[in-house]
Amino acid sequence: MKQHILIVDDEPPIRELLAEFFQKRGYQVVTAATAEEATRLADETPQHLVILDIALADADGLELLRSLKQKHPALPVIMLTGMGFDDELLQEALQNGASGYVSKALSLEQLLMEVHRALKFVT
Amino acid sequence: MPPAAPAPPLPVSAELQGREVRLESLRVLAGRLAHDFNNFLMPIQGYLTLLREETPPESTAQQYLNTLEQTVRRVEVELDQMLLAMRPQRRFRPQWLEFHELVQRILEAWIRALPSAPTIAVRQELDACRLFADLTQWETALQQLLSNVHFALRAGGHLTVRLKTEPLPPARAAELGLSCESVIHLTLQDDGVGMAPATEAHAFDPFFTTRSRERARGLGLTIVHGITRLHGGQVTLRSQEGAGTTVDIWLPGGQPAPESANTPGPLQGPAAGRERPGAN
Repeated sequence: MKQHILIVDDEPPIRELLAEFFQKRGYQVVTAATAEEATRLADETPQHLVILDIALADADGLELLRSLKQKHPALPVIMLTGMGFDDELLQEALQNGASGYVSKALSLEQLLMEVHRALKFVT
Repeated sequence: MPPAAPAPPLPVSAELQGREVRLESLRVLAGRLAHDFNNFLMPIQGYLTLLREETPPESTAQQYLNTLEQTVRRVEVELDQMLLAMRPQRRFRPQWLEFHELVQRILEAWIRALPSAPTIAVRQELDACRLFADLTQWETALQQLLSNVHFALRAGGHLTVRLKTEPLPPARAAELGLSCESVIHLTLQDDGVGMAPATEAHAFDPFFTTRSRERARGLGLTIVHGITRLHGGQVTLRSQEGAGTTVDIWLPGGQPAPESANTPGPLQGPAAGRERPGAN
């Protein structure tokens, strides 16, 4: 059975890239541009993992992380950030239940490794 | 990571307060730009990865892809350094330091790397003092300051470096935007080319430089200011064209170094501001 990944980012090229990349690697992918859409998708279909941009246009990604973890405590969430590596944001993300924290400057292969790590940790 | 302490107060001094507000808005702007550029770069880098997978391994196109990837990487490194200059709390790992030893080590490495001519005479007056601070950040800040001194003394001259612990009267602390009664005071004073008032007024602004763009990115004093304020301190610069420049740095919590460097001092929280990047 394919594992389901929900990708949440307000930038269409990033959503399309990540969807293409993870579909090619055998995952079932759905994408959301807003916090509202992401919440609805996570509630409707069981997801194995969420990749969540820390700075959404309509919401703070960390707020959405808190709300997703409240409803789905076992759901691994990897935070994606355009701010590069940041100790402070990393701590805040981990404190709010994030499974990982990946800079948009890292390669897709590194993001894939983080996804593997997060999924392995859960299963 | 240590718990965050409140950010230092705004200086009462109108000049310093104006600088603080200006630098903060420039930091937010630079952070937002860097964030946006990272958002643009991710699809470029990502699709290059996918394109590589679909390109025959021995083709010339693979070489083009290598060059494109290296270029993207260079932009990312530049952006990362810019973000770090604007927001030093991104990598803030303080520990107890024998600050005088650090200053001496960086200064002596700088002296060793100086060319034999023209002559720069260096005078050191370093009192022993401990500081709860990020080692890497202060190595960077001191190297930036000494790089400026080198440029100012390109025709030779004198540099005096002083480090001492001193009491700070409340009125002076408020003027500087410090919330402490005693400080470590570091001074670098040179008799080099100095700066005109118009240059001095912008010396701490990001990307402002009097050197060629190939030799400097104009982030040195912005980095020093960011690191100093992150540690709850303050930095000022006084300069006179043709007479030289003096940089003063005040850092809170000055206490003499104990006999044994391994004896931990009382934990003193750094002033790690809880600013969030403007892009969030």
